[in-house]
Amino acid sequence: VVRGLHRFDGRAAFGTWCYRIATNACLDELRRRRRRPTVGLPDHEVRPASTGPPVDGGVVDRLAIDDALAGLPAEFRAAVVLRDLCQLDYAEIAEVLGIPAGTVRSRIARGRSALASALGAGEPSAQPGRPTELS
Amino acid sequence: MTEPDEADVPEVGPDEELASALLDGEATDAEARRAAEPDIARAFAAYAEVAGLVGRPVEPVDAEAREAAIAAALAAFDRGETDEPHVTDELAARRPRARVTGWLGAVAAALVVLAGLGLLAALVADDDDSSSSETAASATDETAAASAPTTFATTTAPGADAAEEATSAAGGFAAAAPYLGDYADLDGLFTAARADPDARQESATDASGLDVQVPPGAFAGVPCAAEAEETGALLLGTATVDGAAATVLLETLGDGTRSIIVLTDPDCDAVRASFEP
Repeated sequence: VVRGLHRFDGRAAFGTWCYRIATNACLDELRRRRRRPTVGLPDHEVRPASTGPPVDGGVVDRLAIDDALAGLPAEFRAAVVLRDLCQLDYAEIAEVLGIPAGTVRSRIARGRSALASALGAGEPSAQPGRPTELS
Repeated sequence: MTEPDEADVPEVGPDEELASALLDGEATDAEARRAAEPDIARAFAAYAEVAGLVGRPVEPVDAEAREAAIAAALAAFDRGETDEPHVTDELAARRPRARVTGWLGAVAAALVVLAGLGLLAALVADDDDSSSSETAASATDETAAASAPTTFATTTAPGADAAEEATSAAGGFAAAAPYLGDYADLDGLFTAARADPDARQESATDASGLDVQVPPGAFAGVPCAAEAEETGALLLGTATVDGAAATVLLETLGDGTRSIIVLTDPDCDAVRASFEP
């Protein structure tokens, strides 16, 4: 932000401009990772711990939510996060992502719908923590 | 893990989109009057739950629970327990392979060093009778300079005097900055720059609009070094434009647009030409 400060032209609010830089940096990092996938440990099933205290429910929920968010394409994830976590309104999100406000509205609705399915939200026995794969 | 695609996200109906907009206070008055409809109310409740989950802050684990979890993990470690025995097996299986790869790498590095020393010795031996070939090379360079190249042919040994000034007076870094050619005017340089693979390669830039991290002193010795560093843009190389030494930079803006920036000695004014990558 400091290095690019001389490029800030005042057309958008300073906060929005900062969000735009952060969002672009994150999306760029995602693209880089997609191009150069990291070699991780082999896939393995996570078995429930048989001993020890239960893991904090808030942490488990957060991991489930993050998993569900990771199942969204980056463009949808960015719109949902900017709205629900950063509390930006549609006009600000449109400015940050460089898309029309109508597209913002649609992406947020579709993203939330997918998250609701993945997290079981709105169902009688809604239990975040068991995300399901998006179709 | 592959990045999910837009096609993976199901379309939603107008009622669901309306419920989402209502939740965000972005619905019109006419839309808001439909809030009580059952389908919209149901979607509203589900989306409110999702929004609450995504936006909920993560409280730190209390100290007692944290200590208990650490103690349990350490106890399991001391007992040699692990939930994923095949993970360590797999890592152990990889190690001999890594050792062989390491030896091969060392042998390859040694061969490269030996080849480099041989090449250096040959160059030193040729140095004595280089005057005649220098004359020939100079004539070739002048011929090449007469016609502006359409793409960058990078070299570290420019033939024109101004370009020599751009690099030979440059110090350590300038020797590494590629010489991009001799151009009659800026238009020729911009045309070649737009066609340059480095200028089009996304990985050379940072989509944040702030360009890649430029190490301190990276512009030392290039023409207009201070002005070049001030742009915060990526150094593509040096060039000669209408007989003047110049520095060529690549800048990426937040919207993905790229600009070629040319700073020409001695006024060092930045001249930009934007293009789509």
